[in-house]
Parts: sequence; structure tokens; C-alpha cells
Amino acid sequence: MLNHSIKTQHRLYLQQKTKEKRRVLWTQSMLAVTFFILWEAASRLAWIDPLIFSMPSQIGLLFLEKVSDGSLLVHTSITLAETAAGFLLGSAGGALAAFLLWWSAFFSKVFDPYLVILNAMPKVALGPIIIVIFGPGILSIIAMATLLSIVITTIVVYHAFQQVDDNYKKVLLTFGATKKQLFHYAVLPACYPTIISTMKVNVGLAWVGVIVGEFLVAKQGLGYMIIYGFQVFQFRQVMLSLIVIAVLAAVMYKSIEALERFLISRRGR
Amino acid sequence: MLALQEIEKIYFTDEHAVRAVTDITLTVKNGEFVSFIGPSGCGKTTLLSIIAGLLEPTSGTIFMNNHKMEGYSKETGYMLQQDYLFPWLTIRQNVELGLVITGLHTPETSSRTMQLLEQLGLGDKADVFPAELSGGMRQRAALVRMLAPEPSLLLLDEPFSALDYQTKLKLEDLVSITLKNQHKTAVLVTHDLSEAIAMSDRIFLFESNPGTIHHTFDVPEMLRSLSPFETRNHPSFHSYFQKIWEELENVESQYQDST
Ligand SMILES: Nc1ncnc2c1ncn2[C@@H]1O[C@H](COP(=O)(O)OP(=O)(O)OP(=O)(O)O)[C@@H](O)[C@H]1O
Ligand SMILES: [Mg+2]
Repeated sequence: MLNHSIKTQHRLYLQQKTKEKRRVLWTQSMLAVTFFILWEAASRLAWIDPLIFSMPSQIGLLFLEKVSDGSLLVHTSITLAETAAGFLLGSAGGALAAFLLWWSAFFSKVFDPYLVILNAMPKVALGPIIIVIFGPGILSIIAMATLLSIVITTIVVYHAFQQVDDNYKKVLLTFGATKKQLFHYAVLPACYPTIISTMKVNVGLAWVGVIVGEFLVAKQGLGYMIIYGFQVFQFRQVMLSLIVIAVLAAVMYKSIEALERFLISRRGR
Repeated sequence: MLALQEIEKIYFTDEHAVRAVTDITLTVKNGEFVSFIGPSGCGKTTLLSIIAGLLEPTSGTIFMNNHKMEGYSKETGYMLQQDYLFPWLTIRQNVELGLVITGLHTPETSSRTMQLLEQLGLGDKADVFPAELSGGMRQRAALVRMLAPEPSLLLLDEPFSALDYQTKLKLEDLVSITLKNQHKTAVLVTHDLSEAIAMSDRIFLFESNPGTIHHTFDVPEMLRSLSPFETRNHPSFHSYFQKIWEELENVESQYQDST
């Protein structure tokens, strides 16, 4: 009897939850739809300058046009490839550097002040130097995206490595673990959460690096579409690029989150 | 037999050099269970870490069955005050960690470890994560982890101090019986005098500044043969407790006078 009523209550509780989820989703969609309708109306009624802010319908038409002539696909895939490369190089490079610093205390003491300087430095200011070194092309753009994330990744991940509770290492040392085993079995797994959250930040940084890089040198890519649209006063194109960037960045961020969920579901905590 | 000869350990820090333990000479027979008690800071953990090979003594030597011990030895197992089970590994993976690290992980050692896990009442917990276990269960899992590579000398640094009283009494019995059955030699560090009496054959009382052995007590034969729980309930337990307690008070007041 009691059991039965608990089950009913649980079902009610679940129904409540689904209902609430649906309401949130519905409000979210309505908000987006309202935003676009208001934008369209404001532009058509000339409350805002349609030349600058364009309007969703115009952007939609441009989108179809650029999709059918294939140019949007080209620009998008170039930018995506650059961002992915910058993101991977920055994250992996930073993690590797953090590992080397952890491995050698001497190394880490020597490099400490340099890391501080590199981190404080606004990396974008190095743009001209990067272009001189890597040439005015895709390499420079990737280098910019990498540079933006690699230093902070190194610092954050190395710090996390250091923070790992010594007692976990002690447990392994009582079994005669080597330094490599300490890293593999205690330090690295203890730092997965930090590494994942650093990767989330790096997605954003890679986009910044790539778009700035494309502003400076590119002849193709979404950043180029923005800067070109700006120069020829084609704000429709600027807006279209912005929307595409927003969608792609969100998708990348979400896939890192999915990776995080996957890793955490295997760890039980 | 475990033999320590004139062990001394000096810690060097930026401010000063601390003589943590000095002139420690003692032997522990195979199969014997001994305890270290003494005021906080008298070097018990330091000494245990030296025996475990985690710390190098500044001077002195350790022999295990007449072989000189230096650094890590597969003869020793170490249990910390808290379980330090790895939260990202299941209980099975946790208890097999020692086998993996030492390269002893085979189907046989693995199934033997599972049997031990079952004996300690954790058979159904093999595939859950440590977060789902109670404090006592976690400490039992840590015990299995230590025993898995089959060390012959066990070093226990206050393994029960983080547990509630009832769990602690049960675990004392369990550990005592498990170690007796497997004929292990054990060194227990504890703050709890009654625990020391209940579990050990001999008790080393330490004094501080610098840490040395103040006195050694042989636990009476009739208490030794009993389980820890039975010992605590034995009529002669209290008078024996009183005797060591006075000595302990002496050591602590002596220490306070000197500071
Ligand atoms: N890594 C270290 N560096 C410097 N001094 C240390 C270090 N570890 C311990 N000491 C000092 O050595 C002395 C002995 O410490 P130890 O931890 O061995 O004592 P203990 O008997 O285990 O104390 P407790 O009962 O509180 O656990 C203390 O004075 C402590 O301050
Ligand atoms: Mg201690």
C-alpha cells in the first residue's frame, strides 16, 4: 500500500520534471523567435538602420545563395579546420608542456618567470611577428589560435598536476611505483576535470585566434567574410558570418561537454 | 625478523634542521604485532615511512630477515590514516592497483584478491566506486589493496582513527584475525592506548624532542591470545591500561616541562 503510493509519487515527480523541462525549452524557443521577428520588424520599419543591421530574411536569402554557389561551405570549412587545428595544438601542446614541467622540478623553476611574462603578454600583439615567421597564410592563423591557448593551458594544467594530493602518490610509492606510473595512475586521472574545463575555455580562445588571424591575413574563411563585408559595406554578409560562427562555436563547446559526460560516466563521480 | 639499528632522521627546512627521531634500535619477530604510541610529533609516522622505504634515514640501517633494506621493498605494505582509494577507479580496480604497479597482475593473483575482498564482506561491492561505500567499507578495501601483493610486513599508520567507535572495534578484530591467519608481521601506529593493548604483542612508547623509544611493554600472554574485542573486556585489561597510562602521562609532562 505504502509502496504503491511511493511509486505514484515518484511518477508524479518525474512528470513534473518533464513538464518543467518542456516549459523551459518552449520559453527559450519563443525568446529566439521573438528576437528574430523584432529584428526583422525593426529593420523593415527603419527603427534601426537596415543597411547596418540588415534583417533576418535578407540574411536567410544570402545564406541560401552562398550555400548554393558553394562559397559558404568553403569559407566555413577553412575556418573550422583552422580552429580545430589551433584548438588541438594549443590544448595538446599545453598539456605536454605541463607534463614536462611536472617531470622536472628544475625545468619548472627555470621556466616559471618566462611563463608569467608569456601569460601576461597580449598574444594578439605578436600578430605581425607571427605573420613574418609563418607567412601571410593559413599557418599564421593556426599559430595565432595555438598561441592564444597554449600558455594558459600549460599554467592551469601544471598547477593542477601540482595540486594532486600527495597521499595518492604515497599509496603508489608503497608499491614501488616509478615516476611514469605516478603520472599515469594518480596525477593524470586526478586532473581530467581540470583538463576538460581548460579545453572548454580553449574552444573560445581558438575562435578568437582564428578570427583575428583571418582579419589580418586571410583571403578565405569566416573572418575574412566579416572583414570583407565590412570594407564593402555588406553588413548582411557580416551578420551571416557572425551567426554561422556562433552556431559552430556552440556545437564545438557542446561536443567537449559530451566528451566530459562520457569520461565522467566511466568514473562514477 | 625486522631489525632497526640506530635509525636517525633529521629534516632540513629553510629555517632549521629538525631531529625527528634518533637512536632507534628495535627488532620485531616474524608474525609479531607491535604498536608505536607516544605524543604527537614524536616521529612515529617518520619512522614508519622510513621502514616502508618512502623516506631515507639520515643514518642507521634496517634489516629484514638479515637482508639490508634500502628504499622500496616488496615485503612491505603500508596503510594510511585515510583510505585514499582512487575515486575514479572501481573497488576492484582499486584493490588490484598494487598488483598492476608491481607487475604481479595475473588471473590467479586477481582471483585471490577477489576472494580476500569477499572474505572481508565486500564481494558485492567490487564494481562500484569508492564514493558509494561507508568509511568502514572503504578502510576494508584499503586493507585488501595493501594485502593484494602479499607483503609479509604490514605498516599501519593510525588506520582506524577516522572511523566511528563501533566500526573501529569491528575492524580491529577483522584486521587482527586476518593478519594472524596469514602470519603477517605488523607495526601499528596509534594514538589510542586501549587499541594498542587490544591489538599488539608488544608496545613501544615513544618520547619526543628528539623522538626516541622511552619504554617497551610486553603485553601479558593471556591478553595476547585474545581477539582485540575480548581483550578490551578482559578483567586484567584495565589495570594494565592504567600502568601504561601513567608512563604515558610521565612522557607527556616531561615533554611539556621541556618546552
Ligand atoms: N617533511 C617534514 N619536514 C620537516 N619536518 C618534519 C616533516 N615531517 C615531520 N616533521 C617533523 O618531525 C617530527 C615528527 O613528525 P611525525 O609526523 O613523524 O610525528 P608523529 O609522531 O607521526 O605525530 P602524530 O602523532 O601527530 O602523527 C615533528 O616535529 C614534525 O614537525
Ligand atoms: Mg603521524
